[in-house]
Amino acid sequence: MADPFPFSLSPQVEKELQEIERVDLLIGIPSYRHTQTIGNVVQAAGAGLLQFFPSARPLILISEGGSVQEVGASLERVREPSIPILLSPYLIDPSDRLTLPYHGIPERRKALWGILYIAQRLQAKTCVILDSRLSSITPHWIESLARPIWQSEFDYASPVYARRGYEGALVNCLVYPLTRALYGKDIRHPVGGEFAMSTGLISHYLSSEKIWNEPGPLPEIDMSMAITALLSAYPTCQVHLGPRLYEGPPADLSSTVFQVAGSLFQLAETNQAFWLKGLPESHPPTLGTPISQPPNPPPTDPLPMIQSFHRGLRDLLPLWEQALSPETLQDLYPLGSLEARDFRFPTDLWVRVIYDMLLAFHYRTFYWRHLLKSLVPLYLGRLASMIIETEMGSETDIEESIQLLCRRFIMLRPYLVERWR
Amino acid sequence: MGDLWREAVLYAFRDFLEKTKAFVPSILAMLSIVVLGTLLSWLAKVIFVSFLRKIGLDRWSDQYGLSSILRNAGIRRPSSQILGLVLFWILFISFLMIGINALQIPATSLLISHFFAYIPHAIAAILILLVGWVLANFLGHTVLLGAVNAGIDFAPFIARVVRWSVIILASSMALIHLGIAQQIVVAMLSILFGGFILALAIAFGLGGRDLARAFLERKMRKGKEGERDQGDELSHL
Repeated sequence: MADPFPFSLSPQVEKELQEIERVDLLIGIPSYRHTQTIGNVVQAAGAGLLQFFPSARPLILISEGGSVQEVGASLERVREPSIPILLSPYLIDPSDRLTLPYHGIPERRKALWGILYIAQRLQAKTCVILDSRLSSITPHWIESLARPIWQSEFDYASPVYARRGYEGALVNCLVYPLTRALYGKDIRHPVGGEFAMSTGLISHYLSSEKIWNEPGPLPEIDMSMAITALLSAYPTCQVHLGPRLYEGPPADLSSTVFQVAGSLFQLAETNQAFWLKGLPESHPPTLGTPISQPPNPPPTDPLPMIQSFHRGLRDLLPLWEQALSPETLQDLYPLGSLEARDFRFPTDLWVRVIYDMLLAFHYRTFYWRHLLKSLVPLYLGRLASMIIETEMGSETDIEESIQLLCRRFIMLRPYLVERWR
Repeated sequence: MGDLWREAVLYAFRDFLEKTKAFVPSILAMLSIVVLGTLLSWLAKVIFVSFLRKIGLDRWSDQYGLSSILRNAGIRRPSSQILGLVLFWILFISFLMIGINALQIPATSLLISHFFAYIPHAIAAILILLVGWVLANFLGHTVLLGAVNAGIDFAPFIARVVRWSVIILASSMALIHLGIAQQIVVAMLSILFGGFILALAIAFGLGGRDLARAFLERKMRKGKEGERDQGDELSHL
């Protein structure tokens, strides 16, 4: 049994918690100096609470890893008098400030831990987590995420975003198909920064040792929480939210692939007892109305991606040879001589690449950080192929290609299971 | 004349037999020490290897890439076995030296005292080389991956430069530690690194002026216009 919360809250937060005593609906926002955007998120959250949950006792809780004063000042203009806002600081290790993870929150695990602990202390019936950098959030997001939990129908609500073109490619090429193939749950976005959970699931999370006490930087907490929910008996649903846009500099692709793939691989190791026996496939319901994507997605040029792949094949081959099976390598070599217009990275080959990488990660064939970073050119190769294959196609064609990939991941699962000891 | 000859021959034989009699125990002592030393070294190796396995050295080596670096260098044995072998050979050579010392040959005594005085330096030099070699490969791979993912075309060259710089530095440190041609090593190192930096500066300053200007202009334009790098235009999550 994990310690419910091994850190101490500031005296100011303790005092405010005693005054608040109890809430029904808690909106938790992990933040790190996002003073430019957090006002917009808090404003939308406040409006959503007032519009859709007028009778609930609400609280907006911001778990801030940077400057509480700066964030507090940026909220002055959006503060809604009837919605209490609590700013709870959390300490970040100086070494973790050096590099920002893809979600922009150093030690996000600690931030979410604090939010869940406070939600449990205040006996919140529903807890919604939001990304502090969101620019596309509307009050409807609060309703969509909180309603299924509030009505006690579900314990975990996962987001479905409206994406344009090839946005969310890493989720579509890797996170979604692999999660679905391993855990049997058809959850479209298990790495989302927005989700909601019930009081029961909060208790389950807080009592789970493996979620909070991981020694290294991986797995990322959002994915860890999502997969814990999928593997538990708590009913899960998905909710349509709309486009997901956020402010701030784009995350470095290499670090993003490292963190996301590393989290998936590490969670596959942690939860091997579940997926090795084979979990039946299920499709959690998706609630709400799909929100149409904005038209005219920005054009995506696959050429730089193909060049990246070719560069990887030329320079990283000695590393890949240690991770990939001879059969996979045999199919990979010819791709190096393909011209851009003929370039194709076959679906089955991509599935085997991922399964081989997962096996190499499991057996620590070589240093795991290097292994994960060597995946970047392969991912770009697969993405380029997907863009070329569906270039003239519609959103439906892209979705069909993603669904085909999922089916191949499921079909080839025995390849992974047979080689896993 | 005949008596004199017989006396001389007998004396030579007697002398040989006496010297042999005096030498045989020393030879037996040496053989015993070497045989016992071999057994003890082997036993120490077995205990040491099982201790290293118990504390998870092989797992740690797999996890942090040491095993793969060794595999790349053609060494298929696990790290615990390699360290066990190093210990075996150090102990075996030490026992061999003790054995040779038991022969009580004046010429070997000085050699042996030098040998034992040199052992700590040799071990330190081996460790410096080992750590340097592992670090060189590790940094080489790190730089290679970083450069390839950053889209740099001459990534393997940069990685090789980093790798060989660390290897040369480690080798020089090991040689200095062994006391071999210290001044030459320091001078060689200074010339090598100084020359390399100068060559880079000249190459970049003269040959790459236009490239540098274009690079800086592109970077500054990007900063102003908020452009994104290739491959980052897309939101991957």
